[in-house]
Amino acid sequence: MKKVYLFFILLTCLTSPLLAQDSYEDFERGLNLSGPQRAKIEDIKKKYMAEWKTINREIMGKRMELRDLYRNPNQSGERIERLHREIFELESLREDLFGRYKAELSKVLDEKQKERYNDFSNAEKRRGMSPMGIRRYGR
Amino acid sequence: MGDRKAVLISAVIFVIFIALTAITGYLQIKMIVKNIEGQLENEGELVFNHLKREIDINLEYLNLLEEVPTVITPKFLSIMVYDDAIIDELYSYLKEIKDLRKEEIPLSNFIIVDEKGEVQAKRGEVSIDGSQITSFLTKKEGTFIRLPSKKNLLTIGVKLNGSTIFFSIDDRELASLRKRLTIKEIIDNEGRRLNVMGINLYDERGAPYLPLIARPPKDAHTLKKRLNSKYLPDFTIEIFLSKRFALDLTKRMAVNFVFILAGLSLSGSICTYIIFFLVRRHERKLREFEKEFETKERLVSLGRLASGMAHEIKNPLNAIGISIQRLKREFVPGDGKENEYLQFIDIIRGEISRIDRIVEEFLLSTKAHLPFTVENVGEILEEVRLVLSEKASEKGLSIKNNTERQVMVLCQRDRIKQVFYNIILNGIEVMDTPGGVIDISYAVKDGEVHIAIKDLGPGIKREDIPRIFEYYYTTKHKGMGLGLPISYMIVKDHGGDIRVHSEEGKGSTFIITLPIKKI
Repeated sequence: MKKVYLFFILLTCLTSPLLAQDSYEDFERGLNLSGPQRAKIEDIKKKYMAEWKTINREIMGKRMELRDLYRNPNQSGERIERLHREIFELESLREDLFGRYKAELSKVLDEKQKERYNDFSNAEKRRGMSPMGIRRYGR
Repeated sequence: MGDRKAVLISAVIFVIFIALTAITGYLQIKMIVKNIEGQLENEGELVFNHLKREIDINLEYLNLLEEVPTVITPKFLSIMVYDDAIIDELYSYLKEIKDLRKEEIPLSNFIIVDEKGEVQAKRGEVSIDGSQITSFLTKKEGTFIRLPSKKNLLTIGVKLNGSTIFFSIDDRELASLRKRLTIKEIIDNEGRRLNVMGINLYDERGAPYLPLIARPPKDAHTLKKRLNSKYLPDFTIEIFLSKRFALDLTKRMAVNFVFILAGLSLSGSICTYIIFFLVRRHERKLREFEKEFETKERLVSLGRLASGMAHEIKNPLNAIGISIQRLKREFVPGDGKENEYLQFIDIIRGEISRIDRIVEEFLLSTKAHLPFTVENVGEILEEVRLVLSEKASEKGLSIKNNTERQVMVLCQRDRIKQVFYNIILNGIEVMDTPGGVIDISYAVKDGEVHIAIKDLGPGIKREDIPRIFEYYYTTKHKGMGLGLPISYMIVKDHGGDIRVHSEEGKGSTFIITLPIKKI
């Protein structure tokens, strides 16, 4: 019987924050972006998006290469190490880009909108819901 | 017949009781099982709602990804880096297929070639030319990757067990795979996290959307319903929840119940047997009491009659006695028949004495009104021994009194004395072997004195023992059948009892039990 109670308690604890979170649409609607704000944000996004995509593809290629190396019994340790370093550098670059994107974004948003953006970002992290972004190379 | 009926009624009542208990227990278990199933249903609903919400939230992001939303959140960033995971998942899936067959490959554009580069299977278009294929086949590397460009799609080649597969993925297919994998990840992770046995998802046609990750487990409670998701409108989800806990609980309850039932049956049987046994014993005692009461009543009425008669008989007997004495003394005939005359006179006197003794016994046996006094049993027995020693010695017998210890009883001295007298006298009369000893002893136990009078006579036949206390029953030639019933009645009047142990050819022991007077 204890197991059943424990299950319900866990389920309640796990699902409560979920139920409290807005969907992305609600979040964006709640920002109440003005026309000029929206135009500025679109420009910022375009500026970073192409770069992100390029970095992502590069990371993907390197990860697949890395995975191939791991599966090869005659793998070269030096090459694996080099690939790890390169992936790490690319990931850092992507994080930097996101940091710069957020900095530029915060210049466009007012305080209330910034607060809402931060809350939503934190809720996404807190939920830990996403199976996405799982590192799969080297398994 | 009465016994059988009593047993039958007890058995029927007992069976009804057990049957009712069994039915109650069965219904109780059924109710608990129903409650547990209800609880499992609720649990399934909770899991369902949670999965639905999780799928909705994640698919919302995926849908928006194609158009790229206005504001980029960390979540979108992570989704964008997700494509390598999708390719990795695809790679793992292909590796698991032992024999690459066209219909098993979930891709729109692929080509399978052998070690020589000969095409074995093909679907759609793959943006790779023959020279690239040949070049890759000669290399040691296991994976070929060509990142997407304006001209070409993302193209990947993987060497698998002698065959090589090349596939191209466009953005649409990547999005579809992304969606599929996202849902698979949600189902896998959440299923594991919520301790669910398995989850299956079926598309709008009822076909498995993902490879069936869970066959219906044996001990599972299944919840199957439409997902009603905004992004998967006509999909159905099937959730398997473990019933093991419920089954374990039910099994334990059933086992416990069987034990309880067995315990009840056993204790019930024992109780029924005890009750039956006690009732039988009570009935037997009641019958004995009734019989005893009847005998006593008979003896009492006989005693009253005898008492009246005794008084009536005693007076004429006295007159006859005196007359006989005078006849013997004053009217002896002188014609040579003196001796014969005197002989007859003696016979008459002897018989008158016998009649007198019988009358005396009757008179004494009915004197229940005599006062009770505290007496030493040993003394009374010694007095009886002295009276009867001469009679015993006439037959070469002796009476041995082993009652040295003083035991006081509240009794009617003369009547108890008569009891001892009757039993010892019986012993003397039945013993024929000179040198024989009548042994008197007693023991004190549980507030009673048990006086044992043991003779070495021929014993009493087993079949005669139950009748020896009956009135007028005797095995002696000259017996009247009065001594033992009268003795029995007197002892019963004192709250005691007489039992006899006898073995044919070895003698008899009469045990007279009397309550001890506590001083």
